[in-house]
Amino acid sequence: MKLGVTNMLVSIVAKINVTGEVMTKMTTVALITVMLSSFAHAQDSDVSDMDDAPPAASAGGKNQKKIFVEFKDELVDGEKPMPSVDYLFQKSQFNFKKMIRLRENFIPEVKKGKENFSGVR
Amino acid sequence: MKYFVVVLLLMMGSVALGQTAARKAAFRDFQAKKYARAAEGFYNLSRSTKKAEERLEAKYYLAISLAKLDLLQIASFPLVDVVRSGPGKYQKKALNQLAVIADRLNEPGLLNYTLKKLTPDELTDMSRAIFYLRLSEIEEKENNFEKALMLATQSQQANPKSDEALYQMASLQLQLKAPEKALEHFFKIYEKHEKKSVRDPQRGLLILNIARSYYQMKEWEKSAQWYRQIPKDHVYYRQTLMELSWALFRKGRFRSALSPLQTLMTPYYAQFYDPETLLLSGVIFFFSCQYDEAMSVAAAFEKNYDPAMGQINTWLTGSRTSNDYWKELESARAALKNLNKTGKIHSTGQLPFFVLRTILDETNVKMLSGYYDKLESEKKLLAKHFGKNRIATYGTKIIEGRRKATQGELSKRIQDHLKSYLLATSQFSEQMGFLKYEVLNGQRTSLKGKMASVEQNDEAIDKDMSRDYYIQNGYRYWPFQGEFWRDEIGSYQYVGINRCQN
Repeated sequence: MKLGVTNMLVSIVAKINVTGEVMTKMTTVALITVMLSSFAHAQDSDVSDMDDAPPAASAGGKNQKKIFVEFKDELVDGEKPMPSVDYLFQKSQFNFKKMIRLRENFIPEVKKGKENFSGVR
Repeated sequence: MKYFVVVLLLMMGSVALGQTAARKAAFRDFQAKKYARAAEGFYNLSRSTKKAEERLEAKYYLAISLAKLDLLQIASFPLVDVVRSGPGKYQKKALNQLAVIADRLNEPGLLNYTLKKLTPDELTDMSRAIFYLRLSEIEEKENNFEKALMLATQSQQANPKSDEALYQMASLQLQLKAPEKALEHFFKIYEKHEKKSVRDPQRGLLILNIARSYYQMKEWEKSAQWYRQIPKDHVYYRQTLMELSWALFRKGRFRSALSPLQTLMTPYYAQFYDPETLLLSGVIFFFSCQYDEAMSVAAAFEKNYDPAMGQINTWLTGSRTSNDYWKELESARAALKNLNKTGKIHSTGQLPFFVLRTILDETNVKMLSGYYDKLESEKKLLAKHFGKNRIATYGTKIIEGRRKATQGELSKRIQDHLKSYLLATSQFSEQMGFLKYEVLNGQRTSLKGKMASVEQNDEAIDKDMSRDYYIQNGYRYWPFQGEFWRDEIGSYQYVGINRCQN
């Protein structure tokens, strides 16, 4: 597998040279080495992250397991977390506290409602 | 002489025999559930008998018979007579009956009179529940919330079916800053009312109170979820919109908070006294740096409330009788009826209609108006059962007296509301002044930014907004320009954007 990828990369570099790009031998070798190692690493880590099977077994090509991700029963909460308005009131540059009395409760309204239940037993 | 004595004795004997027969006949009718005839019999007996004990008995059963006919107000009078006659076999019985009748009539004066004369040991379970509840209310008025809660709990124990006691406990828990416990109580009552119609006032009120408890717990999202369960045609929908707006505002969702406010600002709801809505929308516009909109809200506040408060002030400083208040109330009621029928406001009163109609919606005014209406229906019921006989005359006299007293009490309550509205409006007006000051400051900063070539968009907030999203989803879009259709009420979505630069 790794050998196949190397050949592919060499041919890509060859194509670049053919199109007129000037590339030294040293740069080519370094590029191939870096790409090869990162590809091999990514392949290993992908497999081990997604599946618990050992890398050697899953790297077998045809025998590789298919991975399904099921979102059917998952609730996707798309809400953007925002600070509450209390944060704004902590800013000192405005006279917010004088401007508006923040409602902390609706106790007067609750008390008024009690008469709706009086005499009902 | 001998003959004279014999005749006299015979006459006395026959009268006594007649009274015993009348008593027996009255009880027979009572047991046969012929309450109108029984009431007549007991009434005549209470007037004719010379025996004090028999008179008290007749009065007591007269009251019970009248109560069975749903003539509660008239029934309370012979019971008060029995109570005033002093200790005896019927006094405690009469007091217990009075407590129940006063509670059903929702007449706190009569209830307090009754309960003052009784100790808890002399009460039945039902009366004991009412007794503890009233004591709890007295303690609550004196801000002794712990003691009030203890008494409310005792009331609930005496009558576990009492929703009122549970409600009182929940209300006290909110005042004791324990909204979690209040929530538990409200849920308990809600379970009993959950299956009622979605338009049921009590069910709606309980949903509101659950939302309010979550609000006090600072659980804004849950609070908003519960507020949204109130249907648009519910009697508490208007109140819900304002509170929902608060919950969304506290959550920091300014645009969502403006949506219910937009409904409240339609002409459909604008004819209510509600300065808090205007102030809240002004503040949200300010937070979104929509200074022009905030200024137009402040202008609307001044246009609506300044002259109205002037009118109220003039009214309150003048010399007014309870009859003047009653006339205003009648005029507002007629205008409201006409508004519901024709959709047009035609008020002939001296006080602003939108203020009076809101006062008519205040619970204590609504309850007393309900009591007044009960008196009216009791008068009709009296004529139906007794025509023009002696009980009818007796009952009419009582009802007329109660009607006059109720008119006086209603006038007093309206006066109290007018005073409290005046005070609240002056406080809101002061806050609106601060808002205008901050808006002007904001506008100045914005202009400074513009002069320093900071990119600024001065065009209408929704001018270039694409509506494709709504149209693709089967909606149609019209910009909100103040017009409304009744079936759209409650469906407005504010689509403006935050203009703040940073």
